Amino acid sequence: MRYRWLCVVVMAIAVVGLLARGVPAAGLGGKAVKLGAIYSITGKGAEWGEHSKIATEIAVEEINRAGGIGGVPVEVSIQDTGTEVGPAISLARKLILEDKVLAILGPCFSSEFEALAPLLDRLKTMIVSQCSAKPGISALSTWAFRNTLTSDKQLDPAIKIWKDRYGVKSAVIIYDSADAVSAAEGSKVLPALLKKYGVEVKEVLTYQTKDIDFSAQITKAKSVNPDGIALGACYQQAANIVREARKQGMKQPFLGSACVGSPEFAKLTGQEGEGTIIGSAGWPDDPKPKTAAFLKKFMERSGGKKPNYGGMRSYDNVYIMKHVIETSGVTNKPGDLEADRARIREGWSKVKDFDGITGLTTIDANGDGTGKATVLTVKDSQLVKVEY
Amino acid sequence: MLGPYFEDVLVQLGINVILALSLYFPLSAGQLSLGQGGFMAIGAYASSWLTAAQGWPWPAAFALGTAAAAGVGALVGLPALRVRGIYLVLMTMAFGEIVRVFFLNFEPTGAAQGFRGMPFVTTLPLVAALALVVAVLAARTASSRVGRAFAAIKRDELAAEVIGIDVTRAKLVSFSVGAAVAGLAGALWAHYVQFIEPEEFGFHRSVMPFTFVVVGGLETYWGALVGAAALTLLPEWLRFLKEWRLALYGVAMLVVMVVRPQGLVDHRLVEAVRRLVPRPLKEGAR
Amino acid sequence: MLAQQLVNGVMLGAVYALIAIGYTLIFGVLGMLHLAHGEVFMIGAFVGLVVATHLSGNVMLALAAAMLATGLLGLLIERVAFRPLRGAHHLAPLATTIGAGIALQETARWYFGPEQQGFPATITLTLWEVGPLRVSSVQVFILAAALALMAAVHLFLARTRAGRAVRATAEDPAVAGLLGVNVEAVILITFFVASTLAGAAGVLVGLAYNSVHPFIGVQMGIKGLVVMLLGGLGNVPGAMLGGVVLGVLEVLGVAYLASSYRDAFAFGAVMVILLWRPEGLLGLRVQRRD
Repeated sequence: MRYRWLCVVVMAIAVVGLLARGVPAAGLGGKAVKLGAIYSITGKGAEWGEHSKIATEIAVEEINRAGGIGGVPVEVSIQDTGTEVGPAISLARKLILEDKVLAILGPCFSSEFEALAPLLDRLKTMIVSQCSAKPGISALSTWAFRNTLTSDKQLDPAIKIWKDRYGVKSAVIIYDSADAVSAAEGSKVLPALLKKYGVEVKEVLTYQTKDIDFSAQITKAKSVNPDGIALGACYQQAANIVREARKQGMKQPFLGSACVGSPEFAKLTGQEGEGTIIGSAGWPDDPKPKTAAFLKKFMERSGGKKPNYGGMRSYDNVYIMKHVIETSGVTNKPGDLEADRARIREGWSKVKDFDGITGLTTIDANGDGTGKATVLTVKDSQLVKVEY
Repeated sequence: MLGPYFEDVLVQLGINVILALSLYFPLSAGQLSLGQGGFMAIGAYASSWLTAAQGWPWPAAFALGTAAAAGVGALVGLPALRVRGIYLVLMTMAFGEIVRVFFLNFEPTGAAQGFRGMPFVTTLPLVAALALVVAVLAARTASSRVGRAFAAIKRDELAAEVIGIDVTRAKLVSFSVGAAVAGLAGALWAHYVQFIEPEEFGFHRSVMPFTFVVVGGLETYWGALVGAAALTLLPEWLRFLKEWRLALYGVAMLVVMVVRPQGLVDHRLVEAVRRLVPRPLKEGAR
Repeated sequence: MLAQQLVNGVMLGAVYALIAIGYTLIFGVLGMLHLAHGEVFMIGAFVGLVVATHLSGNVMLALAAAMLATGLLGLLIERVAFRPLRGAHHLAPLATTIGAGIALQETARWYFGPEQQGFPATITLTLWEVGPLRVSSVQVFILAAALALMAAVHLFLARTRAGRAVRATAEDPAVAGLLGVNVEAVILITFFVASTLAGAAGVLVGLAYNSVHPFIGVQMGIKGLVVMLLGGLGNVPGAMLGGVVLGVLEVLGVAYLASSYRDAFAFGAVMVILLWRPEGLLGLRVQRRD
């Protein structure tokens, strides 16, 4: 009886000690902490992947200069999915089976995430997306995490601002029915939220990711004369839809979220996209010192471009990964690979109030991030935050 | 032991070999199809729907998926009897695209967003076994009465008809066997990646077996085998070239065809190899 | 709305027609499919984009540069992917052109990047209201350019010596050769003309839709094939008509059904045409070379 008490006390002290100070730096074995990353560096999500890559490299350099993870340098093998599902799956398998990484950063796109998540129960390695926004899909596996806000959370405040600012009473929805997150937004999220705010949906139109001609959709949208157009789209197509609308003489304001929220959208549309309201999950110009320092480094490497929220959250994810590895008893010995992977998953499920450049991160029971959405608007070809 | 990644490559190789042979069957009767992607889609979607949504055991689902592809193959084969040459190429291409558009709009299998939920079935031993079965089928057919009928049609349709070959039936059989084999490849692929979407079965998927067979050689089924193997492994070997990998792949294809328009393997090469192989080994093939 | 949708369709169709004319010329003369023709179109779009963005804002110059570049590219493709295969199996050029197409896509990806790019908004956009229609200056330019090019091709084929030689070779290469037509020269001329048209189409698509990327040729190439078939293989006026028909059908499909049915028309039409009217819409000439 006395021994059991003693055990509990000792363990409690040990746990408190670990939580307070982290595992000592000398705790990790191996030559390097190996992580994988599957980013959409080319294809329709190119800018999202490119920004994630730059942000990840910045974080890795900072960490390694400061002594690595648990005293061991971290290595992230960054792979390009081309924003396609097939390569995303085979690259994840390669990283897990051949390169024996501890965990995987990414993928960004919901279509990739949704297809990969169910396979993780067999591969027993966690993934953490920095931008996937389709509601509900983290629940597909206990190994699937997303440190970001789903598009319903991003769109809710954006729609309110859009409606109030432009007096929108009726809208047309145009969405990409071949893209997972866009389709979820166009067919479920947007109709529900527009209804919630009393905006009548006059018409729902679709396109396919590979389409280049949006004239038919715009002509049809124009014929019902809505007060605004809500998009479930990625930034390139969104930009072309906006330009086509202006070409056909429509002056109505646009609304978007998730994949539209890229600085490239503002650049591509220029004057024509002015005033578009975008729900997002990160603001690069946040004056917080950490964020400002990151922004400076990022812009040095991106040729002056500001990061989208996927880039910002990738940076946070590397640091959360460091925190989790150092505090969840990972040994990084080759024989412990499976146990280490499980420990990292366990650690991620318990992340609470981690202070990063996008704010405080807490992972909920589904494995999704929580927090307050950022609303952006296009002004002079730049994304600017709207206070609310 | 093989690394798990190399095992992945071999699984893809096996599926590509089956896909290449699926084109070999109609080609052996002089019919080129640029619509094998469509048959593959039918096999993939049918078998996946059965395992994922209906809970069927995979062997039954695979069988039905293959049969569905064969059935549609016969339906397409019938009107295809009227067209030949370049017109057949365009028609089968259009068929493949129509299948893609169908699945793009077919809600029960997820439409544009793709379909998932099928179990992991396609292991290397299974793929290897099925590829072997199909290869043996191709070899047996080539040396059988049916195969000789196919060859006669390929050479001269009119002459074949004159010597009493039922051209209509032979063409239909060759076409639907090819479709069935493509359907099998589709079922295997779907239960390997566990996620399928219509875009995967577009034109580029139909072009794949075509390049395998043309680069490998149109004369014998060995061409399909060698072509599929070479073109699946080539991008892996070229991995050190990084982003130049696929460009060189294209150039390599061009160069092979210019140097050897008949493809890598022709009858002469098969004969030459056969002479090198000691006799007892051939007993199994008899 | 219908009238505006028809305008949209004709715009798209004009571009399809330019690509299809190239296909049909090459097929008419060689009896072979040129599966890298879509990539020639893509290179044209990029060349036009570079000239318009970096060298000068002049669209006419961009068009001319793109046409010259793709014309030369067409000659190169003929040299490496077709000429070595004279007399080989008729499927061999399909493989060489697929290989050439992949090489061109990847080269473009390396050089221009994989991203979708658009023309700078340098051409000031003027909008005209014509009754219920709204037509932009860009659209007028595109339509005018496409029509001018088609007229030029028509005149070239009908009135010039070289054009007559092309038609004679398309009719029967052996006879044309016997009658003193330099068949090799005709082939080169055909490739050059066909490729310049594809290059021009590339620039026009870039202007109209702001979507130039290394893989755009695949989709456009397939559409060009469909249009060629609609018009009848080797039939130039047919390709023009076929392009407009397909463009209008696609736009109406998107407007009245759904975007996912866009391609159903193209390929449904191919099936119907092949089974019911293999000589194409105009039915001027049946060309069967099996």
